[in-house]
Amino acid sequence: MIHCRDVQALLPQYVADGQPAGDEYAIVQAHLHACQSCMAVVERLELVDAGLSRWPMQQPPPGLTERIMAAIDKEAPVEAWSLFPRSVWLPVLTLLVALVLAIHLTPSVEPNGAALYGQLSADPSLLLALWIGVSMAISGVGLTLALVHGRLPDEEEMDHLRHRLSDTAHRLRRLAGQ
Amino acid sequence: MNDPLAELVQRAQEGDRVALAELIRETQGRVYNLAYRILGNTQEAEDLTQEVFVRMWRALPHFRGDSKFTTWLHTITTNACLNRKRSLRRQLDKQFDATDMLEMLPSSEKGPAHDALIQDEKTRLWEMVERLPEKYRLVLTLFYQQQLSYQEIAHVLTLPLGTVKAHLNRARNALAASLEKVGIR
Repeated sequence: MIHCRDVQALLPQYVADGQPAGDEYAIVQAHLHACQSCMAVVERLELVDAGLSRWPMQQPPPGLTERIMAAIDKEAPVEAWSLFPRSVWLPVLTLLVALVLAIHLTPSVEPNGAALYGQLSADPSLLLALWIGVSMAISGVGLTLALVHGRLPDEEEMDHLRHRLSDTAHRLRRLAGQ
Repeated sequence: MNDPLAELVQRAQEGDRVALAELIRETQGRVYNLAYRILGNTQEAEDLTQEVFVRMWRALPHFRGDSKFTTWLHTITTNACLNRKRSLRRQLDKQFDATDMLEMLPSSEKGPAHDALIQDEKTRLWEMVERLPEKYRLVLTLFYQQQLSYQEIAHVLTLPLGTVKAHLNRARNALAASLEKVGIR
């Protein structure tokens, strides 16, 4: 003997699936023939299902496609740089410049006859101070520019970056497979 | 997988602007209606629709057709809507120190149901839907309005199939019980 509570737990699916066949549903059907209160639940569920199935769609505002296309066009130049946002490449670039200059200032590349380089090679602590000073100044300029003109990558850019990385990994895996 | 939009998607991926515009025109209604149903405000829905399609365009080169295009688009839309709703809620909390203000938004504007239906039991049904918890409204919208399958909803919401069916059944039961309370049948 099946109880109304057990039957009613099955009824939403029973109504939504269009009274499907199956042992479980055969028991439900038999119960419904004999139970008016469960039948009333079925009728209410059918009303709900029919009402929801006619869920009206609201028309989007006119000109929406054109506005979306304009927004996409505005985004287009960003696409080329989105793998390396400015906030990433600007400090990296300035650090690279600082590194190249620091290497250039070492005694091993000292030009013959230059008084300043002669003095620097004679005094290693002065060379070190100059190296640190130049590196920090250039990095500072880079970071300031990045903070003023750049910004941290937002969620979308990070998503995009992740997509690109996973796409690249996927292609590499495919290449490795071949 | 038989996706009626597959050809448009492929052309848009190849950089065909006409195909991209056509793809947007074909699918913007779904995005707009889902956004409206979640956010409850036409202006918010329009802004979000625009944002969703910009996101879609950025990610389009990486869409490989593992799911139907509309399922993928629904995932982007649902995530964007829920993020926007969370951020609106934070703003409202800051401004009014009231967590339930956002829940009032849907009823502040006459929705599609109000436009389309006269004051009868169907209208009552829409009002009852508005009062359901968000997770139930979301699955109802995806199933009945957007006509996604159980499987597609599970994919969009990253929920187990059983949970999707359980949410839908609880929502239907809650609505049927509400109809009984107001004396319908």
